[in-house]
Amino acid sequence: MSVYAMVKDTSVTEAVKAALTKLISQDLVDAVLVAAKSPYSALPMPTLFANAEAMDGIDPLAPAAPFNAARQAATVSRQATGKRLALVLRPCEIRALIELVKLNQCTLENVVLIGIECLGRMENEVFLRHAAAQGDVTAEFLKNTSLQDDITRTCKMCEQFEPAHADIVMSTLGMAENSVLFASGSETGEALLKELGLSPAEKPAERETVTKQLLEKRAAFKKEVFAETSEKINSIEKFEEMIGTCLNCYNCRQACPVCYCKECVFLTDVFSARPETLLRRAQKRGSVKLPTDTSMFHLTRLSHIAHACVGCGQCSSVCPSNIPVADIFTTVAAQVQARYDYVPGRDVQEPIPYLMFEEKQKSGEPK
Amino acid sequence: MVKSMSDFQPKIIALVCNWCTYTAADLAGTSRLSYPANIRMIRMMCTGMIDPKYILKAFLDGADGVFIGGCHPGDCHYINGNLKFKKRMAGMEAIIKQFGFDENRLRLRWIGASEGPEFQHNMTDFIQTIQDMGPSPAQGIMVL
Amino acid sequence: MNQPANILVIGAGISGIRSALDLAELGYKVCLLDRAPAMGGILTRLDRQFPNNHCGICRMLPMFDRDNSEEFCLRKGLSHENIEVLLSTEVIAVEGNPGNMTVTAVKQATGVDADRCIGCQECEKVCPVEVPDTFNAELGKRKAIYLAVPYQMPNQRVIDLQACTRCGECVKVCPTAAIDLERTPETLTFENIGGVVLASGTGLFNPQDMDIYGMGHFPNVVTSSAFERILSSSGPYQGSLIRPSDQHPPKKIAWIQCVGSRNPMIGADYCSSACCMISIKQALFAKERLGSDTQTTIFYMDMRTFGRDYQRYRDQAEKENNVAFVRCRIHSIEPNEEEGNLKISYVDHSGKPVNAVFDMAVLATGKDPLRKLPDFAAHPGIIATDAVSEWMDIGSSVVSASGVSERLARMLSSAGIKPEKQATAPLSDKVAGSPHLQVVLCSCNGSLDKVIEENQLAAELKKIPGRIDIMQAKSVCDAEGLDQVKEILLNGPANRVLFAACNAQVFRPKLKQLAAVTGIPKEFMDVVNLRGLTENAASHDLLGEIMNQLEMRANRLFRKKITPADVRPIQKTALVIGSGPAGLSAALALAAQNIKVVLVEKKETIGGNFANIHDAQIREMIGQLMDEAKDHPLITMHTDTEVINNAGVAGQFVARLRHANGAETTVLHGAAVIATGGGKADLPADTLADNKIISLYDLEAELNQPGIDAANINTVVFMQCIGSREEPRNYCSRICCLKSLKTAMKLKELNPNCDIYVFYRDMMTYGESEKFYTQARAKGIIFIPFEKQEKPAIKIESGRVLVEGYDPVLNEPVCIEADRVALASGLIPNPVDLVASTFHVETTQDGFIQEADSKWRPVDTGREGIFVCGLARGPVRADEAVQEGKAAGLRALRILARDTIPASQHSAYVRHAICSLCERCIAVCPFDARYVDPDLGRIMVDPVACQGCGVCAAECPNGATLIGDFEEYGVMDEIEAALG
Repeated sequence: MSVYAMVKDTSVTEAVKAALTKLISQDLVDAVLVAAKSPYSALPMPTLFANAEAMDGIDPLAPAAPFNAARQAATVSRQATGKRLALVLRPCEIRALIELVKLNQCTLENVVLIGIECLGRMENEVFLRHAAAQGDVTAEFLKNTSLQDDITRTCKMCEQFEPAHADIVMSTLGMAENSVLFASGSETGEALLKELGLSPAEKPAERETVTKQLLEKRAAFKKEVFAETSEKINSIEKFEEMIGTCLNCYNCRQACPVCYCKECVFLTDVFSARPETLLRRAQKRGSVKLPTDTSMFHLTRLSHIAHACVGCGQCSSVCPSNIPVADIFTTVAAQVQARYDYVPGRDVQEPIPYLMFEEKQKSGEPK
Repeated sequence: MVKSMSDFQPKIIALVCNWCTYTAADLAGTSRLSYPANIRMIRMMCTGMIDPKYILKAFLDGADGVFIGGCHPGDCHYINGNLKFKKRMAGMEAIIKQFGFDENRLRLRWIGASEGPEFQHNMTDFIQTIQDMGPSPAQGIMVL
Repeated sequence: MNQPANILVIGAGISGIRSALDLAELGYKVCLLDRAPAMGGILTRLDRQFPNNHCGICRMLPMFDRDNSEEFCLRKGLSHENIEVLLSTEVIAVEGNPGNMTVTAVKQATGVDADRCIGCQECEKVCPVEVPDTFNAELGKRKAIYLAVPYQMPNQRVIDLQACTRCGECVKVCPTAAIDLERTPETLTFENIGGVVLASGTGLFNPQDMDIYGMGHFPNVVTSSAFERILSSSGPYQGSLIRPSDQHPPKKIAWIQCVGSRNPMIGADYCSSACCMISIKQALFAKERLGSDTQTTIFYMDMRTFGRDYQRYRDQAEKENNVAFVRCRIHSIEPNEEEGNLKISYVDHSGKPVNAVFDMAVLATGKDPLRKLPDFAAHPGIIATDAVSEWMDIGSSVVSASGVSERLARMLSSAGIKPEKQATAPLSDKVAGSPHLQVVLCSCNGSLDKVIEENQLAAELKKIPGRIDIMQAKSVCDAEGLDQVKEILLNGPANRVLFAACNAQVFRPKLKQLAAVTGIPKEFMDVVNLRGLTENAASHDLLGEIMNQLEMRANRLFRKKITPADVRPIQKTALVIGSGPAGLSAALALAAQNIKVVLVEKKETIGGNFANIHDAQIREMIGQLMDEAKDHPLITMHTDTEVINNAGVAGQFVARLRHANGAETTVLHGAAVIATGGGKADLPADTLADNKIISLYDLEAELNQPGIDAANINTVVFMQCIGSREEPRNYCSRICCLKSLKTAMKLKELNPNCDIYVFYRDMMTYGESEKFYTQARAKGIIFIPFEKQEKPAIKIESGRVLVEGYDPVLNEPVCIEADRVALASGLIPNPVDLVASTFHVETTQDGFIQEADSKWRPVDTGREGIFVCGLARGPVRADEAVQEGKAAGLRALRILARDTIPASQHSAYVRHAICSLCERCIAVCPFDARYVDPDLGRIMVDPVACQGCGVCAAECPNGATLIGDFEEYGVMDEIEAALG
């Protein structure tokens, strides 16, 4: 059972700040990774704080995320340092982080996961436009549903806006203005909430209804996108049409939180064709578009990460050609994940499907 | 249409395991169990060695079918490479299917070393399946 | 093979192959002979083996220094750099002493010149003579010119000169003039032979002359080896399980056990050991193929399921698969009214005569009692495998063969004969340069001229992308042709070679020769079967196909790179854990080859169960091993010591020992042998307390006391299988039946009037120990069988010990008042939890160490460099433990005899710069060959354990790990060319 606490301040951002700064000021953790505005931009970037006074710009509930911060979180939790770390992350970031733990890219040892209930993020330029116009976009966004329509297409189909696996969850749905609900998701979280000394609270009654409504809306949209996308890529020719403008820039791979390779295989000798081979290919087919292997890239990436795709939508956001990469990936990922009965980020103990096979034992003898 | 179907010579890539299926293929050869020639067999040490890229490459380069032949479960020289591939196969089927390649264009079968007749039968049957399906949707289009 | 052989191995069946490989892996040059025209013996006729119903023949091949041998299914043959295979060859005389023997052999003419035959099968098509197909137990027909084993590679024909009518049709059609019907046998003389392994097998009993079975008269009576062929896809019916008379699937099949075995009347006073399990296996396959409603009945005297996992196999067959087991000797097999059906008459357990009708009967035949060893078998320097005198299952044959290899290796090293150090040919400087391909178009003595010319292949080939030179040769198979190629490779710019010739497997051994001369590695050479392509008449576009194939292989060659060699020294010390007969034998086997041995014993004294052994012969055997080990300068003993830690990889382990006083020692070693043994199982807790009810071990000890007076021991009951062969200890301990027999006979010796009763479930006197059973019955010892569900009851009534049972022969209950009741409680392994976790090896549900493969790698564990033998692996007799110890020692020696770990071109390697350390490759590696080096922070590959299966490379998303010879870029280019 979760315990609940509530913080009310002049704004939700201030409420969050009030609670999170205490983590450091009360020596409960050594550092906090949380999205914060820099003096130079309103766009919140994952920032590592070791000093409570420096946390003025934090804005984790802002409807913006220039990238999925799981990779940054993994950078600071690559191995256990002996220091205690709080990571403030969105649900899709936590899911990706869990996948990265399975891939041995980081550890959750001595890490406190603080999840935020995420109502979505806007594309960077949309967020910056709003920020220029009205200052505290976060506050406006959380109360103004029309602003919520400006979130990304992928966010609109996200049903997992409530974080799982977090030690503490911060949420605003159903809460009174300028208040944030803190719920424990683990014993660690419960202990921390107690130590933070936040005022105990009840879960607001209307929260359930609001959440359910949002979930229904999201589910309906997801169904729509899947159906539409599936139809749009149900032949290789249609798919070629969809990716016809792809530049092979590999931004999507760079932005993908679960594409964890140090160097993409498409940059290695495995895909550097000999000039003779290219000439031969041209001879046979009449022509070869350069760079080559565009559809191969997307399909191979699918074969690598479809099981682990957390649906964060960053691949679409970074595409210079505006290819709806995330539509494609989430649509295919749903099918692959269904075949393996695998949900990325569901459980850190759940093994990657490829590592589980019928006869796990090493010897050839039956047991 | 009917004519073009009968003229259709499918291009098939067969990735077969060195130990069992390859032996069966050789046995089919020496036992004069003939099967259509349009199969390009590539010897793998084990089906567990088959990278998903090989399957994608084959389909994107215009293969009408990809056949994978390995040892029966329990017979793998490398203990369970065949079962590891079987696990990967499920995801590959989902992917190729979504992009318009009939799932049946990718086929995995266990063929033991002594199973020359099974090898022949499987090849003939697979070619027939592909014949019936017609050319791969990647044939004749420009794949980028 | 470059140098002449040091060793001859006679018989190229399972034992012969094992022994030849063992010795070849040590670096000796071996000549493997068989009088048959193809190698493999029974191996090529078996598809699947008990007790797992799988095939694992290939697991016999070298797993270490794999570059020395070709990797393919052993049914096709064997190709190892140190082994020369001579077929149709029989040894006729042996002279000289060990270390310097002269062996004379006769190579029968096969009518076909193996160097010229290209396996085109034209001769077979025209041959008018049809004879029964011996490969398929004469159930089909073959021609007089034929392929002896259908898998055989190279697939050269031979002529059955007895059947051949010399009509000459084959000579006319042979495209390479390979056939010469007038050839005569050739005498071969082998000189300077160090030793000879005799592995010619026992032959198979032919039941033709035993009237009661009707073999030869009724087509649906077949031997179990014929049934094996019927089950096989390469068999007479392409794998359809049908009966010979009408080719219909049988619905009721009977298996008759002990046909030609356990029959002193025909000189067969032995058990053939494997037949019971073979019949169960066949019954299971019959059910699998024909459906579970197929009736399968096994008629047996004792089901000898004495292997570690065999009792469960039988129980499963009986309970889950409804295989019927009927204990009786059948009276006869006669034809039934219905066409082809058989009437089997027997007396059932209630004494009632029964006539049962079956569609088919399988005779479980074993060793041939008429088979005699050749005259030279006793010549010094010849060591015979056990499989020469006893029929046995594959696992035992393999253990015995390795035991023989160990003895032979020891004999050679004491004669001062050492294996030649293998010189590796230096790589040519050209190899590092940019790829340049030499294509060699072979016209195969003109027979491919037409194809090459009509298609203007030489010109077409230029279209293949990359730098290519093309040469044409008349025949690269003969010396002249090969010299031409050598010349061009030595003087020309090419650093890769592609032959367009015939079957790659025929030609591949020549690539090694070529590699040695030219310094171009054989991995940079390949062969396309031009002939095979040409013969495929179904092809609509011959040129297209040829070009396609050549381009595929060329693309792979263009992308070849030399795998970086990872040269590591080998720690030439062995760690042996346990000092019973198995451990001591392993230690002595290694020490004899100049390997230092650290022998660790948990107890205060060495010798295992020595103190409890009363059999004089066994005591002497173990005592001798103990003395030898104590005196051996290379063996360091640590009693009161346990191994508490072991890390590293094969060739380079570090172990920590903890002594009783708490002190610790570090041992650097290259391989470990686990021989932790076991001991007697305690009597069950519910055993009645009475000094007349004792364990078999205690009775044995009592009777072996000096000056024992047995006059008052007048009635003794032996009870077998106490706590054994039922869950939770559902295995046969192997030693109890024989021990009961020997103890009973000792008792008879001491007190001839003693009445002795043995209550048993199945007498497990396998192999030659059957003789004791025969003798015991002759001495008047009474044997009363019982079933697991109806155990005899032991009671104490007013001080009297009574045993109540049921005698099926008398068909009435019996009650025996006994002076002693000896309970055979069996064997259990010593606890292996610590050793299993220390060495990362698996255990069985009964607490034994799990071997890698009970048939083909019986003393290996799943981890290379860690071996297991004796009671730690499963119940064994002391003499069997010694064999296993020797075999395990020999397996370890393969590694320890080297100075460095040989690098294999076909192994996994890691490109650290792009490796993300996700460790998925470690999770999927089936051989535990990958690990993280904590200091370097890198994934490392254990070059001994890695077998090049490539599952790591397929799992690795970005090609950070690749497999030599199967690099992804090469395969991708090959696929591209294939789809041309």
